[in-house]
Amino acid sequence: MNLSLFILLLIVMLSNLVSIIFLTPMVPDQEWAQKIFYLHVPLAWAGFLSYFFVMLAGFGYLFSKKLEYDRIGHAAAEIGTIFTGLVLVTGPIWATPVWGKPWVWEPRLITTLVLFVIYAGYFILRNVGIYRQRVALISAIIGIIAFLDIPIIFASVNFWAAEIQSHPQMGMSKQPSGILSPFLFSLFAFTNLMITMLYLRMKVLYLEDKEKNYV
Amino acid sequence: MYNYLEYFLAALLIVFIVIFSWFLLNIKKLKNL
Repeated sequence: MNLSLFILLLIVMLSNLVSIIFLTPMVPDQEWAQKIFYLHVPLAWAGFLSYFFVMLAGFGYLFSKKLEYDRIGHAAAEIGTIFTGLVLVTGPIWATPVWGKPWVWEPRLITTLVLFVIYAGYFILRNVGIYRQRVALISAIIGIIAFLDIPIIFASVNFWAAEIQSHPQMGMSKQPSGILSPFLFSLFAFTNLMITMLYLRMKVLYLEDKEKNYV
Repeated sequence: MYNYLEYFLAALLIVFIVIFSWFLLNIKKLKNL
């Protein structure tokens, strides 16, 4: 079961790579730099979805006090943070040629950075060494509160002064189909990747808890 | 004509290395537990 899941994921990710490199059209002016978008946006989407799971798991833990939910939250938070970190790296790589500078202090970038920093705090907190159930409780609460940043990230494009916005993502559906279908496939592939990673990480966390006699 | 290929490759390589190392690390952990 496990191995077939990995092989399936590998096939999907490789086809995604082929589709990004060979099947997507070159956009004038941006050329290859534009193709970073097929990595950047799906990573952000999968990362936010992962944080959504952290919030759900947080509520699950608060209501049931089962460590199982804490493990889901922990695994999802870790994967979300890896993905958000990659978003914060691929973004500036794209921006360097296109905007001429890697970073501008515009609302979406700031709110995403804030999200990353909140979760960095979440992991520091998990490692301070208080007892297991207490960590789970505090993590659940932080996971729920931290999720509030995600609607802010989405709304940030409309929220603050329009003239400082550099994000053109409104109206994605108006893109020509040559861009839209590989993009949707990439979304699908990265969602798959996220779910497989979640599954593997939860298994590892379960075994770790078992070793420490928490299960 | 400048086509920014190295930017794309850099992004791709970083994403690949991070996710691949994550898998290696966790599979290693899984085997040790």
